[in-house]
Amino acid sequence: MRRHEILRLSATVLILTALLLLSSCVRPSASPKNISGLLLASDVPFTVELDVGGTYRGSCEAIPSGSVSGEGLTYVSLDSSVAAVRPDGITGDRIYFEIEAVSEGSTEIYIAAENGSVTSSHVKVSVSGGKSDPSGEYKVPGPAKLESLPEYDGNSSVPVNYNNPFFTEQDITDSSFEFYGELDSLGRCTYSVACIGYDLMPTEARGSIWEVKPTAWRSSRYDFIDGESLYNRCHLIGYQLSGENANEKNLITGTRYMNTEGMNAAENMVADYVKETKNHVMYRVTPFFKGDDLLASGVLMEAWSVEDEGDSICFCIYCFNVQPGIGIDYADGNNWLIATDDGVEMEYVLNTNSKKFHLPTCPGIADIKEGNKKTYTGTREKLILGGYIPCSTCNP
Amino acid sequence: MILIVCLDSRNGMAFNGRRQSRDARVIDDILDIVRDRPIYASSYTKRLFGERAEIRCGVKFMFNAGPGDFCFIETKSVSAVSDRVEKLIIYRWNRHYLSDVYFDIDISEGFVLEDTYEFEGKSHPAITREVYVREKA
Repeated sequence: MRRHEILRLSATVLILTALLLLSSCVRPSASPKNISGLLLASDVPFTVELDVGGTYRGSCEAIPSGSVSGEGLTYVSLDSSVAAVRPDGITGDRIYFEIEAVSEGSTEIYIAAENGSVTSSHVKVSVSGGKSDPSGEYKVPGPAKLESLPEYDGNSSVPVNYNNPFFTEQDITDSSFEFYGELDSLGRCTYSVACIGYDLMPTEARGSIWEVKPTAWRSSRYDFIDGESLYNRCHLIGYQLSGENANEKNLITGTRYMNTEGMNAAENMVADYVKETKNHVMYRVTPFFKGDDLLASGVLMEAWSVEDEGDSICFCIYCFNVQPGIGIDYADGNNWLIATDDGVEMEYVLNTNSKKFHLPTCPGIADIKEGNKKTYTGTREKLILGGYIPCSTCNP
Repeated sequence: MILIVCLDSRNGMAFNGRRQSRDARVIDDILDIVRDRPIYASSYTKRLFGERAEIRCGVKFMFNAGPGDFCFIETKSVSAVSDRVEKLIIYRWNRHYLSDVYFDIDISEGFVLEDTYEFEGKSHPAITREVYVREKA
């Protein structure tokens, strides 16, 4: 046997040994999962089994000696069951990464190095429940439950449980993750939960989501609604928080009013806080449907800042899936105009940022930025239904 | 009193006893304005500044601020001190947040806009600082 054949055989034995180690360590059970093994060369794949919809956090460590660097490391999935493998920070000689699985079965992942940034040829890979939970005991929280739904009283949202989220102590983690519940038997979203961290936030503009058709989706247009469309595809966990784009488990049919007045206002607070502090926020959004309705009655939004124990972010609100001036059949999203105005149309100038409307002669118009200024011809009542308030100076 | 507030695009100030937003550049800007003079504020607001400013707290902090004193109010109604405000510094986030406490002084009556300055925040694309002074009778 020639020398290179001996080396090849030795390598094969080592690879098989590694795979045996992996198969003995990896069990398709409830999240979280531990994955470990030996990477014999920087381009040898691992075979692991991942739970459907699971998110796994792991680390990559050089053994028995050597160093690893996040720079130039690439993670290549050879199987569509893995949606994403993301680097997630470096501590000493350990690189953390996150694997997100979207379908059942085994998969192969290359952890390869470029430019020699892994100086050891032997790399140990292990995955556990998270940096803050090395014991792997963390369990992703389930959806929120409400005994009864609040009644709409004219406000876009109302506090629930005195604005205290329903997270238990076991639900809280300071490791970023995101989880999207499975659709139910009617194809409706169930819930989304995350520990929002700066590392989850998107670094690029949101892509198209038009291809997703949530339950009760239909195009309905009214000229007095901002953007004219009654319904939006509403992210349960907003794109600005998790960078999750066209995931059908995270998109529901929601009114423009609920999207902008309730959900977006709440998301903005969380996004600002995380960007500003790099801290984490436990965050869960649960839609509620009455019976077999395909359109949600509303969503419960819960948020709690982890590192300062809710000192900065703490809310639990129910956002109503309503649109003032519009009647809605929640069974299928059918809708109609509720006419209440006198039908007198006039020209107004809108500030789309402050949501105030003015007479064309109002001196306050000069202060409106061009990008926020819009001319509108229609009735006063429709503007108010669309969420606009009259300027206190010109009193239109 | 020189009143300092931060407002969202609907004149909201706070929700559930907490500020709507924060930005390190706003804190830097406030420190530039007050220099080494004290700021009357709540203990909740004091944590924003750490040791970088002398914050005078107390249950009645907003009533303890005298003429010419800086008073930064984040989570309380300001109408109770409206008569004592000589100058008003508003930082506008130019974003919309949840609100249950709103700015409740009508600045269209009795105040004149003296200065407007827009700057990029640490986490906000554009923050607008507006300075109003009491209109002379």
